[in-house]
Amino acid sequence: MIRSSRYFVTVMGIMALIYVGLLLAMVWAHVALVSGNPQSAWSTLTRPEIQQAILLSLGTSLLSAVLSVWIGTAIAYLISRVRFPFRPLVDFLMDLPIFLPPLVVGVSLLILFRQTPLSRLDDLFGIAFQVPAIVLAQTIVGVAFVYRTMKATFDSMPVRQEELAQSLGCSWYSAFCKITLPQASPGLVTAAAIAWARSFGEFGPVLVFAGSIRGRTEVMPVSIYLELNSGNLDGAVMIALIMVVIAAIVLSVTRLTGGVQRGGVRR
Amino acid sequence: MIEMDNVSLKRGSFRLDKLSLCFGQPGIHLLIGETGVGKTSVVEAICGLQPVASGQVKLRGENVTGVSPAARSIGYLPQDVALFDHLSVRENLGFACAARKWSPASTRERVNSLSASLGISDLLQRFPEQLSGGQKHCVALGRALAFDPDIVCLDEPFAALDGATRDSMIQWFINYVDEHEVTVLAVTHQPQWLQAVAKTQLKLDNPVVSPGT
Repeated sequence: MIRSSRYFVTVMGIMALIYVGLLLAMVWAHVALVSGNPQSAWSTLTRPEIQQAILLSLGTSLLSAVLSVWIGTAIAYLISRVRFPFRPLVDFLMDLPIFLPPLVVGVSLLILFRQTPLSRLDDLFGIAFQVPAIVLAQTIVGVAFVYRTMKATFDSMPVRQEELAQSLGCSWYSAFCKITLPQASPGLVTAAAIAWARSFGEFGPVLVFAGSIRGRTEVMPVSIYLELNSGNLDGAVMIALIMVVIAAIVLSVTRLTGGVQRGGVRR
Repeated sequence: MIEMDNVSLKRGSFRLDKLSLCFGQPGIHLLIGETGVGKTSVVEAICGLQPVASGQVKLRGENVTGVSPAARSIGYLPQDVALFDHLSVRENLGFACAARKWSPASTRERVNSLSASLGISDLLQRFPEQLSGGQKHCVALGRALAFDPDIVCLDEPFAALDGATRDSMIQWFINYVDEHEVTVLAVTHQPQWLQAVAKTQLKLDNPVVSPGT
């Protein structure tokens, strides 16, 4: 390796070292605090409302991830493969939930379901400040992330094989299911993992649209917020640590199932 | 029978106006021309993979201009072979049969006989990334013929193969066409390999098609 290349790699290595070190230190801080006062932290976990929050978080984030993958993949495929009027506008709008401040997303949903004709849906089905509000808030953001990931995936895949499948006897839908989706599976797994992670950790929109009602709309990020508000730092840290562990498990599974693409390595 | 009646094609800046051609009898027909004159576009229009701006495409005497690629029942071998990378050779060969709702037993039987005939039975469990260029070509040809189409379109067939493999594959293909009475349209800028057995040879000179030798 020539000298200028060595400096280049060294600078990048230092940056990586600092960042990864910071991440590990953050996790270590949780573990250190919990192990300093294990009884207090453990007592938080034995409370029924916290256990319910864990189950609600897992359930809603899973449902939101499934919905996000389904909707986001369909829209990404449409935008990637079909030319129609206002296509760039739709593409632009799909990014809004990513770039809007999370609280704004929550406020927008609240206004939509409380101050517009859509409030009839809320009257009929009970959406705002109920569990459906959590799923809706998580899905709105999740879809945007799935869309961005899957659009990049579909854009990078040649249309050729899809066309060929059609010439061999498949309908468009059948070619999509038999050829496109299997070939897009690494992107699909990554998109699902991102959607789940976003949904699992979603706080702002959930807090505004679903509220922080203990035992009803309390998901884990809301639990952390409530515990911090009541001065129970140990409890908040314990819940955060559980979130870290669950997220680490999901990330590991994603990598094992091939959701993370490997790039080329220079020797 | 393959016919094009005053067909115009547009794709980006490419334009081909009022093309008419007719390949009537079973056998091999060549469409030749320099690179870039639109040979592939013509084949894709016949297969239904490229929209026709005006004019009619007819197959077996019927107008199929707005008909889906699947319903045209053409065996198509593209220039880049485009094997399905996530499917094994067996699955690639049986793809069209499965898509056309053949029973699994019929599909298996057809794949076994075709692969034996092509001499690729030992490759059935492999995936495309484990094949050489020649083997890929062989599998792609088998895939195009698997559902027993009476019309086959080949885009630059055999061009990527080396001498011995090419000769044996061409001979196998000529025998197959004779045996099954298939109408073949082969698009190529290297007509010498099929010239001797071709029933018709047309030269495409954008924007008109003129009969060659």
